[in-house]
Amino acid sequence: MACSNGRAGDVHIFKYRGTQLVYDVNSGSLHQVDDLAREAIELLRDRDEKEQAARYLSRRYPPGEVEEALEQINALRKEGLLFSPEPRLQEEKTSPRGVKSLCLFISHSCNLSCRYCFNRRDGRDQSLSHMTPEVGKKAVDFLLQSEGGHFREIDFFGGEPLLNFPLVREIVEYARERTRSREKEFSFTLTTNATLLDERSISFLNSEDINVILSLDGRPEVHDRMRSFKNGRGSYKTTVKKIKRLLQGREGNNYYIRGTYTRKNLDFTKDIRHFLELGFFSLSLEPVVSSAEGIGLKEEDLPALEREYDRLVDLYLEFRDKGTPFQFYHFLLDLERGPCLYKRLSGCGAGEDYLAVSADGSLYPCHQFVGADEFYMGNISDGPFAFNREPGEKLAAAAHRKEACRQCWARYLCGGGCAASSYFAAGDLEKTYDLGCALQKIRLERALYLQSLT
Amino acid sequence: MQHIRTIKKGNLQELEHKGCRECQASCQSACKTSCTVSNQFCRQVETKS
Repeated sequence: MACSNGRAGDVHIFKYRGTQLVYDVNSGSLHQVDDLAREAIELLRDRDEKEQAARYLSRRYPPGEVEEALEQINALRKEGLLFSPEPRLQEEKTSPRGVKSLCLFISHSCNLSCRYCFNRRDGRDQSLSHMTPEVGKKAVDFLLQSEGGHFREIDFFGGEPLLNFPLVREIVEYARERTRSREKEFSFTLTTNATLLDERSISFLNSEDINVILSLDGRPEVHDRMRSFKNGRGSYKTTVKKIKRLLQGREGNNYYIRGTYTRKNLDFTKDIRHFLELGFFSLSLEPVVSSAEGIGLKEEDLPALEREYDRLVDLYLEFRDKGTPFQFYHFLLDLERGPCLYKRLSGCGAGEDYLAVSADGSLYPCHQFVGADEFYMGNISDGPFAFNREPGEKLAAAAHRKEACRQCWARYLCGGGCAASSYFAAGDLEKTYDLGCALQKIRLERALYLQSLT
Repeated sequence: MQHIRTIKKGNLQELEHKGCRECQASCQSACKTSCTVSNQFCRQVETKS
């Protein structure tokens, strides 16, 4: 059935390394097409008139093949895999539910002085640097009392959470004690610069199977340029040593090496290769969140970044082809069994499913909004039913109103982007951070291409 | 002659029994600026497999 505007439906057609691909936006299906099918889909996408398309194409291709291609398109359409309609969602499932995930600022202090850190508190009150056990336990209780579902998540964050490691242990033990009945289940993630890992914390993190996000930027000179101790000394050597020790004691891939790239290392594939040389195979690399001169990325960097993601695809295939594949977060894509559409529409969940808790128990939509007064959502002591939901609802509503997202082919893959980027970088919750969008689409096209090789 | 090869059949139109919201709320990447919901996993699927 054609759309009411006379177009067949929403598809993204692109070519990458000679492979022509069609991504069907509303079903999430991916097809590889030849020139004829591509042209036919382009024509129908713009104007859903089969006879007209057939007449036009028959001037360029053998009529028999044109008929074949149009029949194949029609068959996929009937199957709901091409030109699929906008899905009809059940209203109650799109409404906000209870909070299921909290990001805890176990400490606002840090032993490093990274140049791009979003956590620079510049004059804000530092009097309560560490979270107290009281607040930490209230966070656990908050999640247990929150309505709906079985799974709950806590991210130990900061600053550097290992500066207050006893509280991490206390929270995990308290949560385990409170969930003995298995009515709810917690998973934990700890984000750390790794420099303070010791035998005690390593043993605990590994035996409790806590997911770890380990901040490492890549080559020694790249890492040390951005991530130094307070005395100015680079942290690379210590970081790598500690990471290796941690990973020795854990099996499997329940970790991520998480790097940040800046304007100083637009050749970041070399940093990914460096991770691999170190024996780290579960990788994530994010563009820096900063507008600092010389560090922050600019629109004019996009062509270079696009080429760099191409080099990353080369590296990915190089390792896959020699039997030692690595995991790269942004290339993970499961079109057949990934999150459902309800999840796609909720994006990262900031402000609704997910809140950040500062050391004194103050609630914010996410870690990047901590300290921003207009996004203050009350205190963890308010409990899951009485805190101020409004800032979170404002975030979610704005995300749905983003004009650029409504027509974007990547909307169900991206989930609406980052509210903090919209607000801090683009100046408004309803605006898109264009550079972020461009990078997102570059990565997604390459991720889709890699799917075509499986 | 095959002019179109379906590589993956997307699941976005499968809405029955979906929307449980048990999947991970935040992505594994620390600063969640580049969170893509598509990089995450469905717990229902993980549990079954």
